[in-house]
Amino acid sequence: MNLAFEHLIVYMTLLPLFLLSFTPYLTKKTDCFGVTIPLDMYDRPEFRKMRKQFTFISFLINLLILFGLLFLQARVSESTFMISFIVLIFSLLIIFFILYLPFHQSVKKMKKNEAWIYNYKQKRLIDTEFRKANLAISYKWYLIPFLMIVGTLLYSFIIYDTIPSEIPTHTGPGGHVTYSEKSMTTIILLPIIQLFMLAIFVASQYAITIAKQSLHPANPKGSQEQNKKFRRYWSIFTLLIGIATTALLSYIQLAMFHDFLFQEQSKVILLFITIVIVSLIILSIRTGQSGSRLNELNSETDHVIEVDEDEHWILGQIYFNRQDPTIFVEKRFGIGWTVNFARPITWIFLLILLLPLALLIVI
Amino acid sequence: MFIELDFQSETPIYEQLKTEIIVGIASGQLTPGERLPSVRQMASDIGINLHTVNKAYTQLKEEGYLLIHRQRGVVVNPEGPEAMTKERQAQLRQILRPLIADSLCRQMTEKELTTFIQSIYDELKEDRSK
Repeated sequence: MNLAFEHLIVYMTLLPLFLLSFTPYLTKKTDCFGVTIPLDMYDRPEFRKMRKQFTFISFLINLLILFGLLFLQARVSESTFMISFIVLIFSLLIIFFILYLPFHQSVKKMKKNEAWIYNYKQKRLIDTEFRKANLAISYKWYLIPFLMIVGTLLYSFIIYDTIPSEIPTHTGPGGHVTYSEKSMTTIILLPIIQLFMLAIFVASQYAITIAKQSLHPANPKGSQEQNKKFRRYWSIFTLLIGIATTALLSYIQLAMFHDFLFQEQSKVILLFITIVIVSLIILSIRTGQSGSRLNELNSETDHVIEVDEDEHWILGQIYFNRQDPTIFVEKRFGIGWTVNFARPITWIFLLILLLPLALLIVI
Repeated sequence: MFIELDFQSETPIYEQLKTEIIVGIASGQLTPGERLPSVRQMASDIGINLHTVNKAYTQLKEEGYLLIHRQRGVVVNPEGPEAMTKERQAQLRQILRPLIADSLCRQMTEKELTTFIQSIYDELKEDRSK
C-alpha cells in the first residue's frame, strides 16, 4: 500500500475523536454529563462553563495525540507506528472517560445539594402512535447489499478456475504485498464477513425502531418530532453505510482477481473512510442526540421533568435497570443508543456480536 | 395519543394507565378499532414490568374497552363497554357520594358543583371535537 495513503487513513480515524470533544454540545439538553437536569437549567452559567472546559481540555488532548503521531511517524518504523497508533486511540478513549468523571460527579453533587428535583414533577410521557410513523426505512432496502453479496459470490465462483493459483490478499507495511494460495476458503471469507456485517446493520435498523421513546413531558409534540426525525435520519444513514461497506468489501474481493482493481485499492479504502467519517460528523452535528439540535425545544409546561433515572445509570454511562424490560435506550452522553445491561438478552446480543470478532482474531 | 404517568403518585401505575386510556377513548383521542402498542412495547417505552401493562390491558378488556387479538394485537373495542346499567350506576353513586359529601363540607354550592362537573364533561367533549 502506498505509504501516504496509509497515513491519511490513520489521521482520518482521528477526526471522530475530535467530534467526541464536543459531546457536551451534542447530547440532549436534559442530560448534563450523564445526569438528568430540567430543560430550563441547560443555560446555567455553571453548566455552560463545564461544557466549555470539557471541550477545551479534550480538544487539547486530541491535538497532543495528533502531534505525537506526526512526531512518531517520521522517527519510528511503520509497524511500530501502527501499533502506537492503536494504543494511543484506545488510551484516548480511557482518558476521555477519566476526564468526564469529575464533571459527572460535580453535576451529581450540585443536583443533590440544591435538591432542585423536589421542585419538579416527574412524569413519564409516551405516544401510543409513535411506531405507526415510519421511524426506520423499510427492510426491503437491505436487498440491495444482499444482492451485492450474492453477486460477488457468484462472480467469484464463475471466475475461480480462470485466475492464477496465487492471489494477493494483504498489503503489509511499506507496500509489501502478501500472496495466498487460492482456495475456496479465501474466496468465501469476505462474503461471510459481508453477511455478518449485513446482519449487524439490519439489527441496528431493528434497534432504531424498538428503542425506548424519549419524550419530554415539558414539550410532548416538540420532543416527539425531534425523536422521530432523529431515528429516521440515522436509519437512512445506517442503510447507506451498510451499502457502502458491502460495496467496499465486494471491491476488495474482486481486487483479488483483477490487478487493475488491486492497484487502486488503497485509494478506494481512503475514499470510503473519508465519506463515512465526514457524513458521520455532519449528521451528528446536524441532529444531536435524540434530534436535540434539529430545532429549539422550549419548555411549555414549567416544573415537569422526565422520570429521574440517575440511580440506574452507573457513572451516568452504563444503564442497568432490572425493572425496565427495554433493551435499547438512548445514550446519556453521546449520540446513539446503548443497552440495558440488566437484561439477559443484552448479554446474548453482545456475545453474538463479539464471538465472530474473537474467532477472526484467533484464526 | 400521549399518555402521561406520574411515577411519584400514590395511584398505582396500572390504574393511571387505565385512566389515561379510558379518557383517551372518552375524548375521542383513541378512535374505535385503533391499535395500541403491544404489552411488551408499551412496558418497554414506559420502563415498567410487563405484568403492570398486562394487568391494565386485561382489566380494560374485561370492562369492554379493549379487544386483545392473538394476531392483530390490542385494539380499542369499536363497540365500547356496555351501556350504563343499574348496577354500574349504583357503583358510580358509591364512588361519587363521599366525594360530593366532602365538597359540601367544604362549602361548595349546588351551582358550583354542577358547573364543576359540567366543565369536566366539556373538557372531554372539546377534545373529541378536535
